[in-house]
Amino acid sequence: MNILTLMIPMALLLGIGFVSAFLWATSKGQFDDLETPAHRILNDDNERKHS
Amino acid sequence: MNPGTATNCSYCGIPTQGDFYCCRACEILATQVKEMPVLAVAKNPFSYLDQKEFRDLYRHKNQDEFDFLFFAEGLHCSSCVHLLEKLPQFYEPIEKARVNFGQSTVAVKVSDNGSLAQTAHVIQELGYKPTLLSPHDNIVEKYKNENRSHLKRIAVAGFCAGNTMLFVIPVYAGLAGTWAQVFNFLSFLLFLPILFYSAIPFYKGAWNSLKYQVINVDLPITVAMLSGFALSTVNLVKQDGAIYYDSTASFIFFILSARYLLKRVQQNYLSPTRVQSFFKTEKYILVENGEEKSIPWSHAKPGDLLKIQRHQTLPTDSVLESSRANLDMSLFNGESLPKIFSEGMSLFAGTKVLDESVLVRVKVPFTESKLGVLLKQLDQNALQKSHFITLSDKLAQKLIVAVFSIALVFFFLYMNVNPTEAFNRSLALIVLACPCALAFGSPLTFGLALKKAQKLGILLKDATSLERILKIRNVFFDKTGTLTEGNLQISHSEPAEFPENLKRAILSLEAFSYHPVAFALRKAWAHTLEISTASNVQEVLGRGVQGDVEGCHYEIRHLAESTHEVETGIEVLKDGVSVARLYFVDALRADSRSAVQNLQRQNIRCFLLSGDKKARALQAAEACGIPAENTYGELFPEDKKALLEKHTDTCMIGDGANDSLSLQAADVGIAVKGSVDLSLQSADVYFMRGGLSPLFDLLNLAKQTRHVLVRNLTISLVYNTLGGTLALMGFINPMMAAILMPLSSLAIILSSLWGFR
Repeated sequence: MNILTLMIPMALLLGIGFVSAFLWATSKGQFDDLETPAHRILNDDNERKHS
Repeated sequence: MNPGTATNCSYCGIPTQGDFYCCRACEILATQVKEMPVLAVAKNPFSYLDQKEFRDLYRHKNQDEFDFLFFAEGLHCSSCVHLLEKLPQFYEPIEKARVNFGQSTVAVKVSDNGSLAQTAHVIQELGYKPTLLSPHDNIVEKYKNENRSHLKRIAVAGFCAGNTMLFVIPVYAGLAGTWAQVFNFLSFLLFLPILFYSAIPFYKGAWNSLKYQVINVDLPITVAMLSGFALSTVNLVKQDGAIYYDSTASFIFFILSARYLLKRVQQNYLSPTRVQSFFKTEKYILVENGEEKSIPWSHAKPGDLLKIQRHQTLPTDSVLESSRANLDMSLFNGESLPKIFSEGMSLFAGTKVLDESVLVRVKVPFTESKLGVLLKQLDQNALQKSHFITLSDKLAQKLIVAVFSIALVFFFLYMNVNPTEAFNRSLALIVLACPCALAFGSPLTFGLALKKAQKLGILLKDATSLERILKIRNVFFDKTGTLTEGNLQISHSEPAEFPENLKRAILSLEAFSYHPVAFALRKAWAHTLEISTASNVQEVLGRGVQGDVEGCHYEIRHLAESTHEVETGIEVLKDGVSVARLYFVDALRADSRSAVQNLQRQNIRCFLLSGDKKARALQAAEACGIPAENTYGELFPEDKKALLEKHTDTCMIGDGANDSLSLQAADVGIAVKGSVDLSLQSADVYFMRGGLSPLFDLLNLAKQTRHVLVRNLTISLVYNTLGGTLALMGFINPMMAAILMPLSSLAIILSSLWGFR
């Protein structure tokens, strides 16, 4: 069972890392507007070249 | 391409009505994306925006990302987003442009020497109608912090609940000894962030509930969570007995998520798209020493001479300086027909000028104007809106009393047998009987209901309106703009039929008029396409128009209003001889009569409250089938409110500024399409579709919602009774709790989704 002493802190640290990343992204406004980015991604200048 | 059949936009693929591109954005993007519209000269219609007063008014000071926010009317597709975010390419000083699709806004960062007027001009050239929004109108900003912190609480709760569940599985599977102890201790640690961070809103709610002595759902949630925590911690220290960290953590996560959904849907209520703003976005022309200068509405000071242009709304109470003026009072006091004012008379803020341009002298600052006073009253009353106890609050109240008394009685009865067991089992009962369905089913149901309402074109400020509307027994209608169209139509004429050349002559004279009569004529005779040119046209303020058409001199004169109470009339003179008379009324909406009858069939009493003349109110009431004794005319906003407050279970439906007090006072206040921002702010419900038919959609939806709510509550009551009994008998262990709680939540999610499928 000794491996658990390594695995559990690692799992928790990983989880905490993701949560902090999420919290950081939220503070930066990543989730303020969920609608516009969906439209923005559809348009790419490189994609349409005049033929 | 075959016109008539459905075609798709050749740029973005959205179906169009036979056109090659669906909108200007697509056309510009497909054809001339790199070109820059020519810089406009100083004659730019928006040039006033570059004055310091306007720049300061609209600058968003505390933002790093942008400094001006435009509401771009007409933004509707991906190409629009793309095009508007390309603004820097069209005008160099724009450093950055960011679109918010949901709010139809574009936030721009303009360098200090860049012209705001040119920015607005470019947006208009691209095919949108730009309106600058002041920081006060930035809805996104208002809720930003609240939403972000709520989301963070959910994230933390989700992380902790998820990991606790992982740690608890081996324990359920039979793990014992040191590792079991370690896992339980880890669960304890993971519960702390929930206790001290995620659950804070519940503490606030519970505290308010104690402070104002109204039991809400937050109180039982807090109690259940704290007792779950206490019981588990005691047992952890004792190294013996049930541990409920996992199930308690997961229900907090569920409840927070459901509330977030509800909150996001409710926030859609006040979006600038919906508001027909009174005047706050307008500029006014100040005449000073013979020179004209634009100022924002808030800068009008007493003594200032303002030149009000056609279709502008008066910014504050003023005195008329021109000889005569026609004013549209409909949104201000509900009067359907325009009124004529003469020099020296007082005009009120919020009335609309119909003449080319009139001069007025500002009498009082806005805060002392009739409208400003009304606004202040609204603010004061906002906090006093009668507290409505929702069904779930009511049940929470009963449930909490029942659960606590059972737990207490059981504890005292069983204490003699086994004190520890008695304590364990009573606490287990409280944890399990947590009104999970109440706490989490209701916000979920309401959130889904509001979403469905939005699809139907109904916006609700507050989900409790869905419960309130079912109790309505008295419905009060406003007349102008609610039961009626709010604009004039020809009712009858002498002679009944007009020769084409006379129609042409009248239309040519009225061609450039903004008087409601002119609109009515243009609408009624839309088929008369050819308009001959009139010469020597003179609009006489408040009187009518005259001019020469096809060699004859025509004069259109307003008939004196007093002789025709219910209608407004005009007389047409040809070379000084009267040839025709036309009468106009504010016609009823097509569905008004059937709506009133439908309500009366459901035993709901209908009333008509109008600020208009009594005779006109009575006429409209008769046409709708509202009894004459329930019809009131010539009312002031305060009178409307007083009449409404004589009844209980009231619903007010209106649109004007004069309805705002009664909209606020009613149990359910409904603002119809075309309402002004004042009434929208005080109403609970807003119809985005015209007419009264959304009222019945709303009633149906309310019934459906109630049905789902009751079903959810039944599920949760059955579950609570079952779980509670088992807990008292000592059969419930943590594992059963961990399985039962998510199961009941799942049942409720499914039931809610099924109810609004």
